[in-house]
Order: sequence, then structure tokens, then C-alpha cells
Amino acid sequence: MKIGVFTCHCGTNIAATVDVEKVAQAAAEFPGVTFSTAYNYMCSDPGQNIVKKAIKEHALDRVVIASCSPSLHEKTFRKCVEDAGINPYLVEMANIREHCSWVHPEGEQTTAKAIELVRIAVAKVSRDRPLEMTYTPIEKKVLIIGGGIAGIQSAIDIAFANYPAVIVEREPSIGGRMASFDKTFPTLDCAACILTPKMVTVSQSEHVTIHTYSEIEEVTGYVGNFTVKIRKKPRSVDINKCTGCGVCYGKCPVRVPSEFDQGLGKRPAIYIPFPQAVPNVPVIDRESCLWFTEQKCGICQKVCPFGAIDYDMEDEIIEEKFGAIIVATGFQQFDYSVYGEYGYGKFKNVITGLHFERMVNSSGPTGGKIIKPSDGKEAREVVFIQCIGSRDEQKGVPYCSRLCCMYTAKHALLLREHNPDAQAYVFYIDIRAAGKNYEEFVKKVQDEYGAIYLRGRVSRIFEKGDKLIVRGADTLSGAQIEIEADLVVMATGLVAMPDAVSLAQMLHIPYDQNNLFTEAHPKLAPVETITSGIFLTGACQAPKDIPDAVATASAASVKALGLMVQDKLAREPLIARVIPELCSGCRACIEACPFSAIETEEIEDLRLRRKRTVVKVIEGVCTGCGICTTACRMSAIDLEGFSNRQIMEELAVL
Amino acid sequence: MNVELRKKAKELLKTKQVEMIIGYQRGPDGISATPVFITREEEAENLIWDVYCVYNLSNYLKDFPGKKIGIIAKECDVRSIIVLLQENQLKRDDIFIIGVECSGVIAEHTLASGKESPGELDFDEKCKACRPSTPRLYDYLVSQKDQKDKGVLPEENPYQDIRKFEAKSIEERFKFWQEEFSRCIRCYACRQICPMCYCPRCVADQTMPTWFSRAPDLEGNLAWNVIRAFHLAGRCIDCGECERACPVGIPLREVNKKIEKDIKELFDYEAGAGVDQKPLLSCFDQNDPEDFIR
Repeated sequence: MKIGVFTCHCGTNIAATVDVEKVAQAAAEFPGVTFSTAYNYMCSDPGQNIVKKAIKEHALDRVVIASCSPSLHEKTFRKCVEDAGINPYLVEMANIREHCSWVHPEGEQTTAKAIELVRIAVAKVSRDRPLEMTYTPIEKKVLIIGGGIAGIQSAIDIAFANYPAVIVEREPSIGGRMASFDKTFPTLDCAACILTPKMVTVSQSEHVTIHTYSEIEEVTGYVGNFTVKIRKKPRSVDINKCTGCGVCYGKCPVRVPSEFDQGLGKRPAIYIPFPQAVPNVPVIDRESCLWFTEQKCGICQKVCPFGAIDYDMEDEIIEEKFGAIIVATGFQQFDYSVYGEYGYGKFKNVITGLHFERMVNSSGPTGGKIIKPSDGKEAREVVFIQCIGSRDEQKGVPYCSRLCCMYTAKHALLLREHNPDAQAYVFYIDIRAAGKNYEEFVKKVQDEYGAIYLRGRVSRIFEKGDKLIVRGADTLSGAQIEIEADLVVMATGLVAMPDAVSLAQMLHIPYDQNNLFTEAHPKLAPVETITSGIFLTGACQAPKDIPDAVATASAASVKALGLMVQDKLAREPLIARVIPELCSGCRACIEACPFSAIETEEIEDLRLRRKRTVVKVIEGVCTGCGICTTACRMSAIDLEGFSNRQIMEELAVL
Repeated sequence: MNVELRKKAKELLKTKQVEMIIGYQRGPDGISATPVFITREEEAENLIWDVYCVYNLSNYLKDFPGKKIGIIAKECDVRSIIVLLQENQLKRDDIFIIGVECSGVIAEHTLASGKESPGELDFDEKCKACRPSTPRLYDYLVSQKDQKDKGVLPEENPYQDIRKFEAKSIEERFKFWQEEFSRCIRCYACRQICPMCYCPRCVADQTMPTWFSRAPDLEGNLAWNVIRAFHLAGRCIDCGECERACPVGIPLREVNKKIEKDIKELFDYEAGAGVDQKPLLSCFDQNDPEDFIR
């Protein structure tokens, strides 16, 4: 064994407190070391050339670099020694900067510690094994969970690159929340006018498959090789026979509150959620359909000219393989019924922002008239209350939902546009309008549309006659405010979907205390999760407005496409390996593994002369975190690059 | 009740529900009980169950993989069977548990004193920390109407001795264990008798790397005994077999009990409580205490 030790000055980063030359001299005496030198910047080209030259001239077969953290330059030196003909996993780094020179004053002890760190690295490298990268195949298809604007944008981007994408959407149509919006801030584009072309694009794309009215049942596997079970709920209408003529829902005798219109309008039991629905195929709501509840009626089946109505349709589970998964499951509105002082549930004229969106929409249930739901009369005095559920650690969520300030400003503007006599009052804590043209928009609403902004919280709302009395304080003037309002609109915050946690557990991705999915790094990996091959977009990660949702959708698509374009997936060989002879099959490691990277297998135990169940590590999934090795009592799992022998060797020289 | 036990054993063998029954028979001294493995109906007449049946027979179960085995088990034995099921060392369908009600067994070492009748003999220490009870898991229960509640009374606080010991200084405690472990001859009887020690190759026998000194000196003995105890953390059900088997009388149960107590207090976890319980040390719970992180 011929070990070369290369000690780095790192300018004065190391050399100021560590006697680098002395470290190099001491290292020359360690067992197995045949060459030791120091240089100003080992990572520089000349520095790397010193390593390469020494490898050739002294026939070195293992290398220790005494410099900075391996998180910074381990890759550099692996490549460097590989160029010189040594297996890249026969190099170790002694971190004499972060672990030594930066954290200790200049002095003999600091140099002595650096020498010890090098001694340990030399011991470790002596037990290194040459390792090879492993490769796993990639299923060239992307699963997109959620068919809102984020999911749709992801699908468009992936299809544009000619890779197949599958959207799984729980609702009967894609489109998500955006489909129910009226206008979009700050440009006041009609939401449907900019969303529906994208919906049509994905539905027409030969690369995109859309499963609506479907949910994810089970996810197994790992990056490049996910196996996903999708449950297709029974639509009761044959999607291949239906032409979307609409005769069925025209004749349906049932009327129930429409989810799409936030209960402000009614829909039949067989329905399409909104006119531009994709697919334009109705669905039977079996909870309210007379055929399913009372075994009578059956009109839709009689009138359908194409025989598309199928009452016997059952759940169908399809299984597909994917290489990457984009999670775009979106958000739900904060349930503001916890605010008793705002009288939710009691007062019909207290509504949410989403109600207002439907009301102000000219194709909505009121035809664009802003009314009091209690009596249908036009509303003139409208109070908007911001931060409902947001920034409220007691009753709501601690975070700012980011877009309520903007949509409230938009509502105030639309109110005046739809009814020039109306007056908007906005109670706010702070106005957060950070975005391109956002601040200007809010200013315009205040200056040109006469919205009265009041800084303060509403303490109480009560009914008086057909009016709502809104009591609050304007903390800027110190005045107590009392407004006789026709309508109160709650700017409810955005919170995680109710089943976010179960989906996260299914996907093995982390979520935070608010059940929002957690990105791999808040700044440098904002659309990745720590589970490779699974990416995040839209409001399932944190409240996002449409531009942010679309931007993260494209970002997630690029990440997914980055996998798709590879022939096979290179995996670091620094992963756990099971020594089957030592494994008892107790499966403690399976419980402990956060990545589901361990499975059982049956082996023929030659010593016992019988079959026996042991575990094995799935190469593509294991991240080399090492938790399993600590859970294993029998030391049957070893971590390559940090093997038991390496660690014992390190301890032995200390 | 031995009549009922034998009748059930015969029936199980006759109907081929099991291929073998592991139980107790009277030893050659006419007093103590020894393990017996019966495969024929007529042998069932040898089966006994009384206060002399001290051993935990569950250790034998894993020696017969793929075979249907009946076993006579008291509460503590059943709990070790549960841990073995949790850890996938046994298949539930392969074992038939003939549960026996137990109100304590005698301390084996007092037999040597020449005393014979249950009245004269001490109950085993482990039984003082256990309530006389019906096993929590069985396929058939032989009830012990005549002897029930006549045995040992459970201690109010099963950990009071541990607490007393904890109150001593670190130096005193270390000295105590140094003295105890210095007597260890590394015969590994504690390991061989322990139902939970089923590793294909014990860490004490591994050489690549050698985890700790194999010589029976204080350093190696300390390492061995500490590792043995750590490997039983969250798994030991206090059957006390290690202490009974130790030829030099090291109070191994004290070590096990200490860890059992800590785990109970920290995680409210009891080994062998139920088959569906997850192994304590492989699982993470957000509510796990983390006061040790400062």
C-alpha cells in the first residue's frame, strides 16, 4: 500500500493557525505513507497536478487530502485521482479547516490536532475499497399528482420535451382552484380565458394522459422506478361513448348545491363541474342521484343518445410505472368557522374570498351581481377582513398566506367595477404586496377605486336588521370603527389539504408542522424533496399565487426532465450493504429505514442447510444515510465508505 | 391441572396439530423440573407444570423452523415469544401456545440448600416484579384454579432497588460493576440461554472487525456485558434466565432492569406487550423525549 498525503494551506485559511509543513512532515511518517507534501491551494489546477504527478511518480494507490470539508471538494479530488488512474473511492479527506484551523487559535495544539485528523484519514484510507458507480434504469414517464394550474403547466412542459406525462386529478375535471376564479391580479386577465387554453393543450397532447376522478392508492419503488396504483372512481359515464352533448344533465331532476360555485348555485346529480371542464364528460354524484339513493329515476340513461350512462361502473385500479413524480396537490381554504366573533355558520352574509370569486363571475351563479346571499339584494357596503387564519398562532396558522392581500385588493376593485355605487372597506394588519406590479395595483385600488383601507382587526360582527354591524378599530387614527355592512368577505388563508399527511407518508416525503410538504433545501433545492425523483410545485409546499405556481411547475418539470433524458441513473456506491450470513432477518432495519430502501429476500443458508429470510438493500433507493447500520445488533449491515472496519481502524490509531 | 395439560398435549399430537411439544418433566432428583421434548402421545404422561418449572422454554422454539411446535408457557415466557414474533424469528402459525397460569416459580438456587417443599423455598426474584397472571397470549389455557393467588405477592414498586442503586455515586456504581464483571469468565452462558440472543454470529465472535477484546479481562468483560445489555434494550422481558445461568453469579438482571426502567419512563414502552408493537429502537416518534439534546 502506497498512500500519498497532500496538505493544503488554503491560502491563510489553514496556514494561519496550523503549521502546514509540520503536518506534511508528520504525515510522511505514518504507516503506509510513501509521499507527503503541502501546497498553497490543493484544489487549484496546479494543486491537482501535484496530486496527479505524485500518483504517477511514486506509484501511489491511495490518497489523503488534508484540506477542507469533503462536502466542498471531495468530488474534485475523486475526479482528480480517477484521472490519474486510481479508483475514485480510494481517496479520503482530512478536514483540517472547518474542523481545525477555523475553530482554533494558532498554536501547537491546533497543529497537533491537524496531525491527528490526518492520522485518522490515513488509517481510514487504508481500509477503503475500490467502488464502482451503480446504474439503475429509468422509466421514462412522469406522474403529476393534481390537475390544477401547477399540474397542468408541468404536464405541458414535459409533453413539450416529448416525454409522456400522466395527470391524476381527484375532481371530475382538471383546472383546480384557478378554474373558479374570476379575474387574476394584478393584470385582471380573466382566469378562465388564460387557464382554459392550457387545459385544452394538455387534453389534446399526445404525450399527456389525464385520469380525472381518480386518486393515488399506493406508491412503491424509487427514483426512476416508481410503481403507482391509481384508483379510478366510478364516473358512471363511459368516457369513450360520451360526446358531451349535455342532454343528461339537462333532464336530471335533482338539484344540490354546486361545489364549484361554493354552494351559491345548484347543480344536477349528473353534472359537469363547469362549462369548460376537461374532459367534457359528466359524472354522477352517487350520493345525491336518485338511481343510487332510491333505485328509481334512471332518466339520464334513457335520454342518453349514445348509451354512455353506466350505473354498474365500479372502482378500477390501474398500475403504472413512472420515473419521476411531481406533486401538485394544491391547498384548501382555511376553515374560518373557528372565528365565532365573525359569526360563521350563523350569518349568511359573511362569505369567503372564493364565494366572492364565484359571485363576481359573470357566468357564475349570480350572473356577476354582488348580492347578499340572505335576500338576493345587491350589496353596497362590503367589508373585507384580511388575515383570516393566517398569521394567527392561536386559531390559525403562523405563516402569512401571501396572496390574500392581493386578492382582497382585486375584490375591492371588482366590487366597484360591478357596482359603481358600492363601497369597499378593507381591514388589514399589514399590506403585503411584494410582486411585480403588486404594490401599484393596491395603490390603484385605494386611489382610483376608492377602497377604504383600515389598519386593524375586526373585534365583532353582529346582525342588525338586514345589515351586519362590523366593529373594529383603526389603529392608525385610534378611532373605533363601526360599519353597517351588507356583506362581509373573509380573506381566508391557504392551508394544506386534509389528506396531505397521508399522501406524504405514501410518497415518503417530509412535511412541516403545518402539513405543507417540505422542500429539500429552502433556497437551493426549492422544488426537490429529499426523496429523489419526487418534486414539488404549487401551494402544496407553501401558499403560492398563480405566477409562483406556474414558475415552480416549470422548475419541477425541468428537474423531472433531467431524469428523463438520462439513459440510466448513476447512483453513488456509498450505500448500505447487507452481509447475509450475519443477518438474522429481524427486520429492525426495515422499520428504521426512512427511505423504504430495505426489503426481505430468501437465501439458502449453507451452514444451516435450509432457506432463511434475510434483508437486502435496494440499490436505487438507498441514500447511504447509515441509520440501518445503527439499528442492526448483529452488525450485518455495513456502509460502504464508512464501513465498520474503517471506523474501527480510525479509532485504533487515535 | 397436570391431567388437563397432558390431555391437551395428547390431543394436539393425536390430531397432528403439532409435531412436538416442548414442556417440563420431573428431574432425576424427583423435585426439580427439566425441559422435555415429546413427539408421541404416551410421552405426554411425563408433562408437569408447577412452581419448580423455572425455565423459559421459548429459547428452543427457533431450533425447529418450519415445524409445528406446541409449547408450555407462562406469562414471562409468552412475552419472550411475543418479542420473537415481533422480530420475525418465529411464525405465529407454527407455534401452539399452551398457556399456564403462574403465580411465581421458586428460586432455583435455594434448591441446593436442601429445602424441598414450596413452603420452605424462596420465590424467584423476577416473580416479585410480576403479577401472578394468565399469559397475555395463548392458544389454549390450562387454568390453575387450586393454586391461583397463593404465590408470591408483587412488589409495590418493582424498580425500588434500581432507584436505590442509582442514588449512589458514579464511582461507587462503577466500582460495584467492575468487581462484578471482573469475575466474568466469558463462558457466554447468559447469551446461550437468552431467547433474544439469536444472532447468526454474535458481535462477540466477529473478527472483521473485532469489536472488543475477547480476552476475559476487565476491559473485555465490561465491553461484553455492556453490549449484551444494550442489545437487550427494549427487548428484554425479564425472564431472568441469564442471571440464573451465570456460573459466577453476576446480578445481570440488575442491568437489564435498569434499562427496562429507563425505557418505561422515557418512552412508556414495555417489551413483549403485543405482537403488533414496533421494535422500540428502530422507530422514531415525534413525541419521543429529546431532553438529552442541549
